[in-house]
Amino acid sequence: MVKRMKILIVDDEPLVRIALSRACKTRGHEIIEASGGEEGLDLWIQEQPDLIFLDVLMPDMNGPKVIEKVSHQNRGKIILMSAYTGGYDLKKAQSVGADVFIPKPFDDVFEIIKVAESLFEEAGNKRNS
Amino acid sequence: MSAIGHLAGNIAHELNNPLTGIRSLCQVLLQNQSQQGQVYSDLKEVEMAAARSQKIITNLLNFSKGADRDELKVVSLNELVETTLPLLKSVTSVHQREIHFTLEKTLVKVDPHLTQQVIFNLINNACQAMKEPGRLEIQTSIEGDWVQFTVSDSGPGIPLGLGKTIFDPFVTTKSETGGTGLGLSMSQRVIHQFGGELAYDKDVSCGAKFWFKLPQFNGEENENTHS
Repeated sequence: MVKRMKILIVDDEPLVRIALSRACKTRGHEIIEASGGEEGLDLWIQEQPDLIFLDVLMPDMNGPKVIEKVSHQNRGKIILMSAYTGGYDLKKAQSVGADVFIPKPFDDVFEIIKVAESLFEEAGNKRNS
Repeated sequence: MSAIGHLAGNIAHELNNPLTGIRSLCQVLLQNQSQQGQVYSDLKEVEMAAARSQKIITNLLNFSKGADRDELKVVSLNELVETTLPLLKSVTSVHQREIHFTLEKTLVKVDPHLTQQVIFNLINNACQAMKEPGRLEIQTSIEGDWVQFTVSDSGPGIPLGLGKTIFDPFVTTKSETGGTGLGLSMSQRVIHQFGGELAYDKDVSCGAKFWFKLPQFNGEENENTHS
């Protein structure tokens, strides 16, 4: 059975937020949305989500900058996403503090949710072990 | 990265974002639709159109990367063709295939990935030109200082009047099947960037014969060389 997560989606593209939000809700997760980096940072600190879908390139504050400003404690799992080719890969994403990097476009949004759920479950197993 | 590479990267980002949203939202909506319904099939068409658009963007990006000198490698054209053919098995297997590789060294200095796409394009075009099982001939040869790749088919040939514009962008004979008309235009540009030439023979009696030639590499073999 899938554990319910509180998920924060930070992306300046409305359709990406809507699609990810709807897909997550079909799996029973609670969703908070932010349309930019600064709003995302505020909500991250305020809501303490379990997992964050974080876009890289946003007009006000980019994803890596947002990560930098969040305290390391209880920051949740971070999935960095980008449609900008040639800029990021897993290694680079992990070097800025993300757990996983997912390039856009993604072929199947539900596979992305499964990645998020595995990440969360893994973290839960580590806490309990 | 060149200026055109930067521009392409920016455009790709601007287009990939909404396309990601379109495709993902379609997938979510499809989950709640009966597969027998009209809405389901309409949504499926939208999703497939978004997937095709993403593919075009990827192709344009690869094309715009062009001849980045750091990415050129010395490779065997024979090997490139050999590794490309299995990717085309489903389209080539219905035709009578004649494949002739020259026994001479076919070393060229290219971006292997882009060159493989050109080979793929030309063979795929030849197969698509033949609506019924026909003859497909693929050949590599050495012509003076050049390494040449040739593909011939027994299809209807190049339509009259198309000959002059066939390498122009967005010219296609495949609009019903989703051809974007970028294949030959991009392929020619890629080969030019490697110092070669891509053209077709005008005096074939039946079908079409496309070829490209690349300068033969005669330099020192080093760690970037594949024999």
